[in-house]
Amino acid sequence: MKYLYFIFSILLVFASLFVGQIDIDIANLFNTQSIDYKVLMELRLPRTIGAFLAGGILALGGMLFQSIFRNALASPYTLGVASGASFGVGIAVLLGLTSMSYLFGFVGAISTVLIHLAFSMRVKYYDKDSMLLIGIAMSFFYSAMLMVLLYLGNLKESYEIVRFTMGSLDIVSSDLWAMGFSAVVIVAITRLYKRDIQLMLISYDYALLKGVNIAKSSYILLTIVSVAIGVVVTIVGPIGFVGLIIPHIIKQIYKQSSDKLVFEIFFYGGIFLVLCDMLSRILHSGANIPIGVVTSIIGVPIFIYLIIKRS
Amino acid sequence: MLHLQNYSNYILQDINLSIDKSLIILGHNGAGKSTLAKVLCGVIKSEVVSINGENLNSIAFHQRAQMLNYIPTKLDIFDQYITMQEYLELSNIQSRDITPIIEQLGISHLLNKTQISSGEESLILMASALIHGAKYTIFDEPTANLDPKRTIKLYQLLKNDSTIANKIIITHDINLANKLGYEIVYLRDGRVVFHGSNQAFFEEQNLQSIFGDAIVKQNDFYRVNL
Repeated sequence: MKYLYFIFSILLVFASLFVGQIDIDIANLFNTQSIDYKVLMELRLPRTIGAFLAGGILALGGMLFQSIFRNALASPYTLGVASGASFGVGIAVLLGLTSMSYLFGFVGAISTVLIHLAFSMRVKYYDKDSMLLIGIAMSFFYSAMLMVLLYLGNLKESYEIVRFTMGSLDIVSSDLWAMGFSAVVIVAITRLYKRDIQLMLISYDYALLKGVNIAKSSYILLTIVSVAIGVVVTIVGPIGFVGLIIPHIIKQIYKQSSDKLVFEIFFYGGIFLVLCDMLSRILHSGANIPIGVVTSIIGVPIFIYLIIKRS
Repeated sequence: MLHLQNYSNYILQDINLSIDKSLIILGHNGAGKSTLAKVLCGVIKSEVVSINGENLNSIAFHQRAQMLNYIPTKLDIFDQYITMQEYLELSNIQSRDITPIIEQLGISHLLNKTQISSGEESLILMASALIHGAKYTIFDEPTANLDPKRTIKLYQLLKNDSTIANKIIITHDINLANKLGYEIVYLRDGRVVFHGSNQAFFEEQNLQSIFGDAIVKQNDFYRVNL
């Protein structure tokens, strides 16, 4: 049964390449000079690959955050990375440096992680709940700062900033290198810390008693994952829902502990975003519906259905 | 030797304890037994625990795990899909052969399960303790949820086991305390009010001063005087 999902997903990815404003004629694809070929290779393929990588990284990040914080409501944005990136991009827009928005966004994202670490390390003994609360507080702070930027900007600038926060999968091939690298990093770190994560899925006390330095492992995992998430959010904007919900959906379907579902969570997180992207392009052929909107509208009914079915 | 030096917190007062053999910790509810246990094994952090003269905080984490372990009363697992087999395998920090222990406790049928009864939990916890095999292992009320037959089984396991050199057992079961024969520490309101041999604890006068009429001796057993 699970293989069916997999095959269907692959077909979906394939189909996604052919959806959009410009119709692609398959026959013309063999001519590498044709418009069809150019559209496929320079627009559609990067977009689809990018959506897959972004979705995978966000979903896996969500799983890791939920495991480390032992909180079903944690998401990869819990430490404020998304707010930091949005704030960074906002600054770039107001300074008239939109071409450097990636740099500003990434610095914004990373700075939240570093500031967060600075605060967390002042808490005497490592306490994940304190880290969670600091992260939430910082998110609020950055959101407030973002509102200041919106207030200070003119209409065009404000729109640009808001548009960023809705998410966009207009990705070019050069973006894919950074995202591919982030994907490799997040999957690698999950493998490397497999035992620590398994132990944390039981309890912190258990992990401590079996010889894991919880504080160190958690800091390292959270920091590295946040950086990977920061890269994604800088490029595609803060796409919500994927990181929070996909881990739950996958666990519900497969009924296994999270550490065994790394591939599934990454893969179906990616597929979910590809699907949402495809729908955003189909549903409103004039201008794409922002991806962040689609993920929530599609995802929520699926999720609620699963919750009801669970009992 | 596991040593706690002048430890106080919101429950415990001025605890000084040196442990180099098996021990039983008794006390009223709320006296601080579990808190004491958690401080000793490092789950509650402090600066005043030492093993063989070395401060616990300066011993590497994986080495601490070989020396100390704490077995709670109930299983505490966050991910609802973790199986009992995985739980036990993660306890196996010294790469033992766990099959004999599983057979001894009769829990093979539980290995694939993720939800079990509280009595079955106690057996899993006991298996986890034996598999981990730390030199100082603290058992927090190991027989609390067990039926009579299993209580006897657990008692025999504790008595006959040689993997765990120092068993520190928190219990309310006076009978168990007496039959195990270990040294006894009695906590009241966060203070140690008795620390001595099993024999001395079970002297009539001492029992009277601690339990009043609640405990009565009949033949060779101590019973709650309902």
